[in-house]
Amino acid sequence: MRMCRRSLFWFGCLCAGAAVLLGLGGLADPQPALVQPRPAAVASPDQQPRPDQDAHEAELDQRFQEVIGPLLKKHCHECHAADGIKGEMGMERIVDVRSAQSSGVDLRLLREMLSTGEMPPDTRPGPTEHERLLAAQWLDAVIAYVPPDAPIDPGWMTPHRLNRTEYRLTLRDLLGIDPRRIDLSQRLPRDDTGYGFDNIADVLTTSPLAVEEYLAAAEKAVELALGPEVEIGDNPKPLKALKGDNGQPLPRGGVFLYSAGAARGEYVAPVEGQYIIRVRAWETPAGDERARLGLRVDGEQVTWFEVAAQRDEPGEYTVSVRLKAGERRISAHFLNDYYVRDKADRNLGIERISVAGPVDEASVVRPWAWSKVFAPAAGANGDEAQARAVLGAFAARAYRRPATDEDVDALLRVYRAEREGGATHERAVRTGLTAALVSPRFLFRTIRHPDPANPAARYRLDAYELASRLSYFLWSSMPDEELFAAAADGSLLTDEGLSAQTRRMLKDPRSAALVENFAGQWLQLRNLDAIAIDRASYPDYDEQLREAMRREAEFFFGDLLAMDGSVLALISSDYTFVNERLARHYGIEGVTGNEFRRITLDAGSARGGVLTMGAVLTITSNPSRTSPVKRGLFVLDQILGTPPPPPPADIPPLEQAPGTGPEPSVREQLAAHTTMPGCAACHNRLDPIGLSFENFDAIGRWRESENGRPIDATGVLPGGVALSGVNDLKRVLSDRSDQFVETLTAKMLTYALGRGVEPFDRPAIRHIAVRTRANGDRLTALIESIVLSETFRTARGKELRR
Amino acid sequence: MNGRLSRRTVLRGLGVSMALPWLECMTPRAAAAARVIGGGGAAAGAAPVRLAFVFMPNGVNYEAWAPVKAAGAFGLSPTLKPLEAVRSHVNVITGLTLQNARANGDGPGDHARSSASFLTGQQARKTAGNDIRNGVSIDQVAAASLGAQTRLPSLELGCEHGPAAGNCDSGYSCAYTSNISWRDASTPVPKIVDPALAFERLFGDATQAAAAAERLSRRKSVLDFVLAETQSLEASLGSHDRRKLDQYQTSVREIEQRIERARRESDAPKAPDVPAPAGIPERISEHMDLLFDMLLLAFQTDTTRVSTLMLAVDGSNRTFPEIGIRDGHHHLSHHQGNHEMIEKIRRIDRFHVERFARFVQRLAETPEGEGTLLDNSLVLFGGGISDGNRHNHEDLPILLAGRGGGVETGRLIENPRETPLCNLYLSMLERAGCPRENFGDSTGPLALS
Repeated sequence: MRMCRRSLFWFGCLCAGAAVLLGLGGLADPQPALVQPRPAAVASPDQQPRPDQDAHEAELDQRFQEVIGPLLKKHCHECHAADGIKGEMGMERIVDVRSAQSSGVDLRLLREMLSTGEMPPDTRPGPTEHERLLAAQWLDAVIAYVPPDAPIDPGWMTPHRLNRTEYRLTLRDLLGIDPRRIDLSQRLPRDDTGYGFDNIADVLTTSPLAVEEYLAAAEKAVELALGPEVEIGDNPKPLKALKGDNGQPLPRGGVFLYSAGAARGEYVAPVEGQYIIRVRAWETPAGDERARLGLRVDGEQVTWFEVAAQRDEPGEYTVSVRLKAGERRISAHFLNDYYVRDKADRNLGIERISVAGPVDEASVVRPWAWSKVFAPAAGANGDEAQARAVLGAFAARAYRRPATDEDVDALLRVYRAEREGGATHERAVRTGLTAALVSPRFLFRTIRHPDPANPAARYRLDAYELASRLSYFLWSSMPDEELFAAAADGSLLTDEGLSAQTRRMLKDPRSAALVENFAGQWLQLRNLDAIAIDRASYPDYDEQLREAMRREAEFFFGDLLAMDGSVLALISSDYTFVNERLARHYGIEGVTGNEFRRITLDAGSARGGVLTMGAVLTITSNPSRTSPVKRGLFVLDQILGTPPPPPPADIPPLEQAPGTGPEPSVREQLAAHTTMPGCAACHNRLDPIGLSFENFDAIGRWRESENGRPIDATGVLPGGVALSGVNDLKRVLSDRSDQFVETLTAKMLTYALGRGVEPFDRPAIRHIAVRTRANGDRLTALIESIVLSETFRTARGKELRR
Repeated sequence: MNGRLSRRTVLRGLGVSMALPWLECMTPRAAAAARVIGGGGAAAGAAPVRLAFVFMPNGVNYEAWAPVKAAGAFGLSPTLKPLEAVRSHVNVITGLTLQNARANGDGPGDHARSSASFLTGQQARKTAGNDIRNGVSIDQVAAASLGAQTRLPSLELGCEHGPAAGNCDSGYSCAYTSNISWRDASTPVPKIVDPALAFERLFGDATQAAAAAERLSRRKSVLDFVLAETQSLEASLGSHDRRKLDQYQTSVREIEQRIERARRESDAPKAPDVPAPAGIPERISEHMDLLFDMLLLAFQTDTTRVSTLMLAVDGSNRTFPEIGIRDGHHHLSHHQGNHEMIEKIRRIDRFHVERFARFVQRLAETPEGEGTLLDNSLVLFGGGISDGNRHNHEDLPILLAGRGGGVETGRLIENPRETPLCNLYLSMLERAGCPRENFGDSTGPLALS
């Protein structure tokens, strides 16, 4: 029904529509230089981009050459080219990205006509659904395309909820909670990912489940960080239920020791500190000595007393001891029993044992965070003043910028409500701290918009906003004191200050987070845990191997960071990192032990670089066999930044596929692609790349044959470059270092900003990549170039899209 | 302490051995709510209707699924064979379509769209993240009405987290493939994968019960603070940014209301006397069964009346070693006509149906009032793709178990082609006592009796 109406509309408006479609066509001659068809060699398949192009544009031009151009020519030119039936329409002007943008043809309308199937008219065979889709995708990309020399638009920064990793590491740095021991992010719901990363602000949502878990985690964090609440002072607490060996219960409680024995009880010391133990005791005298009472803690005697007091007036025997935190066994022993039948009997009565303390604050061993949190209160007079000082100082760290009066007042209201409800001062302060940990000012990183009503307004991040952006990029955690200081004195806002902090932070062990989280997601190492390698097909694949694979990639990336290495090593290198298990897997001899070391690879080795690491080869496999398509896609997407469009649904059965035999071999299956025009355009690029890895099985082991047949790792790239094995591929990729550096820049910028890169980011990406190349392709130069970019240091608002 | 013990004794045993007439055991609020809701029920009288939505990824091999027509009922196709024992409790519903899982101009991404629109009926906006937009899901619509009666408005479960890196489907964010439950257009509701965490969420951590009251009032004051802080922070933000914090605020409010309710009732959640799960089992069947058990417990104890369960994320490439399937599910689903692969897909489909059948059986064995829990439940089972090889979204594989709200079971309900799946949702809402005029692309309720 809908189609009918639209078609009628189309026929009715054919002339008008054609005019719209052509837009300015025929009015003004757009820049002639751009509309002239380029020599075929320039944009021929898989060539280097021209100097004024970036890789993205070159890729779009190439796709035009291969697919879109012929398609438009076949289906549109007859009517809509300058010499076409419909006269002056000029669709022939579209020969690449730039000419399409300047041709005057209304690309949106063209896309609409093609994707809805309204054009070409039903009277002639049109493009297939998949062809229409490819054309629509190409047109979308061209419409959005921003040339690399356009002015830089920094884009927006959506309030960024700390993701699980950031939450865990921030608690570590804020409160000293070691995530390897207690991971409070464990129960938080998984973060969804976007653009391949789990730190994309727009994707990080907060559900009620998350709020509940944040609340519980905040409560636990405060208790863990500060230790239990303790009452300081001489506040004796009798041990309950004293038990006796060789004794009998006394009527008013306690134990009567009639022979060598002891009265025992337990005391839970909330913290390590100085305590006072008091024993209320008396003797029944006999012989020439007083009864002796030995006092033990956890079986170790701490002192002994001579008990002279008698039953009618028991004595109190006191000792000051240092107790460790936890349950302590406290016992009073009768040391000198004396007994002469019917004549003399010395006994010891233990009425009560009590423990008081810790007796003074100075003696108490507090966790790291205790002094950090309470130090600011030193010198404050009175509970409320103290609370204000503590909460204000904590808020400044938790909110990652100086606390305002408003911040502190809000926290103080929580404190007061607690006090009014009968809580102790310390309890109420703790609740205030808990509140700060669920405040959106802690859980979210936001930037203040000077002009909230105007989304287009641009502004620089202030020093604290920049400090947080930097620390979450490099450390996945909050700024440290030095970074806060650089924000406070404004030095962070200068290029030199920002560079200096970046370099310092990259040398800090906390930059391991960048390796783990950026490299772990870019190379998809994290998927190793989820990938279901079939153990029956690959009995060698176990937890240790998987862990070793992950570690290799992390060591490699971490080493580039630490040694100022070139990112081109990620494509190809003559070294890698292995332990014994991984070396065995790779067939490398002479490596023993579990620890990782850098090894130099033999000349001609297929290892080196990330693509032939076990981790990457495994992640890009199916559970029981390799997947050249996935491997090809990994290279095109993660290394070259030119992922092909996804396959169409309802792929028709390949010609030889239906049958009752076993699944066809991988290469056989792929060969069928080239015979089908709908598949060939993409698979001509994907398959030869993927097949060049065929010497590696699904868990990255070298192999010469499969099922008794020798491995064939040859292929021909579009453009005629022949590949024989993966080292050929690495050479081709190394020749395209510009494109690789741009791709890596785009991935890292995504991670650094916590948002997907948009077409308007291309100039910034280009700029950063050029700068990185000029600095020896060093990984640290790439990071510094990102940090110093306009995009990282400024922002604008975002239009609200309904 | 004694009080807790006696409640535990009453609740002893899981499923079969557990005689739990919900009326006797219910907290006063639930009883009051049941009186209000009563209208929907028939024979069961006042028992509330429970709604569950079980999602199966990657479509099925439809030839083996398609029910065989039989007089007054459905004949069991090879894939539906495991329903033998419970066939009188189940309806097979054919002819349903998920129009908004289709490309409709958005190109590839059927897996993302099928999970995204399965319960929302909406066309998910194609984005890898910067502009996520879907719609409110049917379970959350139901939870908005039914949720106020129970401690948890809804429970979201799943057997797989989904990829931790990389892209999920053709330019769609993983938020679309990993979640079927959506609280509002831009906020998916995450699922719980670990049965131990699910148990704790349902019944709380018993060790903390003592300090509960004090803790609740403290939490209340902390959340009041959070709400005030959110508002004050929003003042300095643009409208797009504010929306992000609105999400947080809404979630905080929900937890605050839950705390309010808990304080009024001063009644610790009643943990049934069954062993708490120890974590995620190695075997997939055990994992699925355990999550189904959690769902059953949640319904049985009236902790929630609305739940979703994702057997896996859409596009899942997991293997099924316990039934001898060593290739990935998604890989196999694109069999391109290969017989061996088709046979494996059928085995996976049957495996899923077996898990569901077991759940239905347990619901049917759990007494409630004068009938069973199944009499008061409606459990939808299915997915948003029909044939996994073709990625088509008409003739969806859909089953509906249970007689909640008076639905008649044991039938084959055939619909004209292209009947919106959302029509079924309208009927389910109606039976649960929270009718709506329309939902998604619905055109009117389906007749279920």
